[in-house]
Parts: sequence; structure tokens; C-alpha cells
Amino acid sequence: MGNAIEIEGLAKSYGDKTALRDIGFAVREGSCFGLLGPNGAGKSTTMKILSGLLEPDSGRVRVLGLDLKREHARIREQIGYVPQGIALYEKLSAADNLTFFGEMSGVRGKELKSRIAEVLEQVGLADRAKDQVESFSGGMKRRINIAAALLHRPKLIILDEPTVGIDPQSRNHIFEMIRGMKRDGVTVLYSTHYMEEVEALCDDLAIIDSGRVIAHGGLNEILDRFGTSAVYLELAAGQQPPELPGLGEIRPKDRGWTVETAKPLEVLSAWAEACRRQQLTVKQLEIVRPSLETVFLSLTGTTLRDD
Amino acid sequence: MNIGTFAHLFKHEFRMDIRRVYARTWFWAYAAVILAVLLVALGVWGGRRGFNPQYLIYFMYAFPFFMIGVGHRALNREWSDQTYGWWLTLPYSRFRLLLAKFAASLVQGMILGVIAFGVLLVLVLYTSLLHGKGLGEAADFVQIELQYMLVTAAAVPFMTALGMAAAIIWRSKAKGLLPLIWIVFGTLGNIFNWINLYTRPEKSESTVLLFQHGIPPEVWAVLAGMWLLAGGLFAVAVYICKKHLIV
Repeated sequence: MGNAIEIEGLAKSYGDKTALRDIGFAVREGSCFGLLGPNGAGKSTTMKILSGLLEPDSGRVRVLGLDLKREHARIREQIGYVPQGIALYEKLSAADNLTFFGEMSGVRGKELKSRIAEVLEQVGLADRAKDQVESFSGGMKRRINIAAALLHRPKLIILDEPTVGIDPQSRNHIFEMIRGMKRDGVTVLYSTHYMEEVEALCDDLAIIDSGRVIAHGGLNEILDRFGTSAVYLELAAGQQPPELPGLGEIRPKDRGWTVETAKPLEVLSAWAEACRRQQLTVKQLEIVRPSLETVFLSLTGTTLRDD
Repeated sequence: MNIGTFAHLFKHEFRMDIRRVYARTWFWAYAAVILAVLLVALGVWGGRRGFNPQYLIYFMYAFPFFMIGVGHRALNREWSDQTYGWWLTLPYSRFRLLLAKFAASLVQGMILGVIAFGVLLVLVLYTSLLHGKGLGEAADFVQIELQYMLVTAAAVPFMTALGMAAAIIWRSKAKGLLPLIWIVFGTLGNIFNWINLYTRPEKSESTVLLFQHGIPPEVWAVLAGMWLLAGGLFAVAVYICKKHLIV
């Protein structure tokens, strides 16, 4: 199976400010690819370039085998784009919005009607087809937005932070839809701030910071390469963890303590032995797999990004 | 250009504002109240000496300026609805996207112009018949109103393009040019008055004819210039939309 997206040396500046320096990654056909990065890292700029909203300054981008610069219109016919903000005509009904989006994507007549019914069913809003969008909740609007991007059966769908500000039920529904798209062979490019979403949905990912890709690959590959295992200990109330000289720094976490280490078994044994000696009541002691969040923070740092 | 696709884009743009206006009950309430006030006022004062129904034509002066708003709204809507990201990524060139908005705005303008013409005519007929002035006054009115319509309608492409260009410039890196554009427009916008004063040696109290001695050739020259400017403004809007939009 080939690549749905191939990006090499992508660069974009806004005046003096460089948004993308030398972005490069590939997205496998039929996979769900997560694009991660702190605020201002270049995620949205990359998404906007891929969707045709912005022109890059330089670099080579191929989407579904087509050159983005020369064949944008043909690419756009085959992709579904869900922008970061809710993009719907508030005064129109859900069905009227979808009719317009469908017509603009080349779906017409009876086929359009049946596709609208299908996607409304898919997003769980079949009974609200005739209601004005302005009466919808944020989650419902977001689902209609995704429905609009699915009408023309795209081969690639680009979702720019689709779960921001929506209720857990809608979020869960969107997850199920994305899994369904993957089953149907649709390639999904997914940008988000939420690490657990990437862990739950994505096969591969790229972490972007300051306009550069700082990590790229399969989820497990990235966790193995950049992540450090940890040992977690939780004791009865009021008890303090035994010291572990030379084995790592003990940090408070949740209701217990954690030690990040390359030798988790040694730490676990040492902590278990020390607790037995000191007759401490152990409530939980386990080796913790590195999380994407710890990897992300270790790669991008903990400094606040407000832009 | 694929006419089928353009027709769909045009249809969408055309319908969008109509639906919005149609859905706004307060708009219709205002329209009904204004019409009722006009009917009462014309019923009470329309028969007095010194009242000239042609004064109603002054309403037509607002029409080209109204078209600036129509053109501006056609674009601004995409930002107020947050649909610009989606609209700009449709599989069509920016030229075609903007042309659909321009064409839809022009047709909307023409329809509104015809409605305004019709409403004014009905008001004049109502006044003439109510106060026993006969149909001669209405016939004069039609002649003058047509002249106003012709000149104002000819200015509509320029005004629409100006509204669209202003909306695009406002969302672009060239935002700083906007005050300059309005200053130039404000200065040149009175060009018909300059021509009128220059070509009309004596003033008449009895008529509000825009050009008493027929439409002078300078007016046609100015209109041709305005159409060229409209094309230029449209081209600028497309260029900025392609290269300098802040998204």
C-alpha cells in the first residue's frame, strides 16, 4: 500500500515569522495519522496547506498521488476537510447545509438525497435534518460538519482538532466514526492537542514543534524510541515512599509517587523490598508503560505556549 | 469554466441572502411599518401644492451605496459563519468563487432595484389617484425615475466590486490600504454632481431630473470608467484572496 500524503521540505512564513521550516512526513493509505504539537507549532498551517487554504513558500507536497501545487482542484475533489472552527450556515437547516456542501462537492440529485440520509444516520442526527443549525449544540454542529466532509465519499479526510469544546458523547461518536472510516479504507489525518485521542485512534503520528517535525513514526515506535518506563507506588495514607539511592528521582504523581527509569524491574524490586523492610502498606506497585503525554512533554518541554 | 458548477455556486450565493432576509421577521415588520407611514403621509400631505412626487426618487440615490453593502456582505458572511476555511478550499479557483458572489450580488441588486422602482411607482400612482391629479404625473415620474434607474444601475457593478474588494482587503495583509480606498472613493463618489453642475447652467425648481438636457456624454465616459474600475477592483479582490488573505 502506498502513501496518501507525502511532504518534503515544506516551508511557510508569515512575514518575518516562520511557521514551517522544513516539514517532512508521509501518511500511509488507509491509516489514521495524528499530527501533534503545542500551540503555534505549525499543525494548523500544515493542515491549511494540505487542504488548499494556504499556499506554501516552498517544498513538495503530494496528496493521493497528485501534486498539491498543480492539481489542487483534483485533490480537493477527493478529500474531506473539517476545519478547526464550526463551518456551517447557521440560518440553514442541517439538510440544507448538507445539500449545499454536497452540490459543491459534485454530488447531485437522487444520489445527494440518499447520501444526506446516510451521513445524517452516521452522525446520529437523522431526526434533526430539518432543524436550523443555530439551534444545535457544539457537538451536534461538529458532527454535521464532519457529515458535510463525508458526503462525496472522500479518500482522505482531514480533521483539524475536531473534538475541541464538545460533550463526551459526541466525542465518543466521532471516535466511532473515525474507526468506521478506517475500516472503509479512508485515510484520516487527525490534528489534536489530546494525547489520549492519538493513542486511541492513530496508527502513526508526527510531533511538530517550532515548525519542524521532531518525531515521526508508528505510535509504539515513538513510545519505544522516546519514552522512558516508570514505576508507580501508592501507599496507605500518611506513609512516605522509601528512598531509592542511585535508582532515580521520586516524583509525586496522582495519589502516589513515580520514578522514571530505564531499569524498571530493578526499581520495582528495590521499592518492594524497602516497603517490606519498613512494614509500609502498599496499595499499588507497578511498572507503567510510557505514555504519549510524557513523550510529548519530554520532546517539546513544559514551557507554556500561548500563541 | 464549468457552467454547471458555476450555476450551483451562483444559486447558493443568490439564495443565501434571500433566505436570511426571508427568515427575519423584524425586517418585514420594519418594511410594513415604513410602507404604512408612507401611505399615511402621502394620503395626508401628498395633495398639497408644492409636493412633488418626484422627490421620492431621491431614495434611489441610496441604491448604489446599498450595493456596497450587498457585495461586502456576500464575502463577510463566510467569516461571520466561520465558513471561509471551507469555502476557500472548495475545488474551484478563487476567481470562480468570487465571480459567483459578484454575479449573485448583481442579480440581487437588479431585483431589488426593480422592486424599489415598482414600490415607488405604486406610491406615486396612489398619491395621484387619491388626490385626483390624473395619470400624467405618474407618466412624468416614470420618465424621470427611469433616468435615475439607468444611471444608478450602471454604477452598481462598481459599487458591488468595491464592497467585495473592501471585505477581502479587510481580511488581508493589505488592511492598511482600506482608509485610503474610502478616501479616494469619497472624493470621486461625487463625480456625477461635478458633471451635473458643470453641464447644467441654470437651475430649475420644477423638476428633479438628474440631467435636464439628456444624459451628457461625459456621464457615459464616467460609467465606462467605472466599469473598468469595477473589473480592476474585482481582479484586485481575486489576487488578494489568492495571495494575501490572513487565514
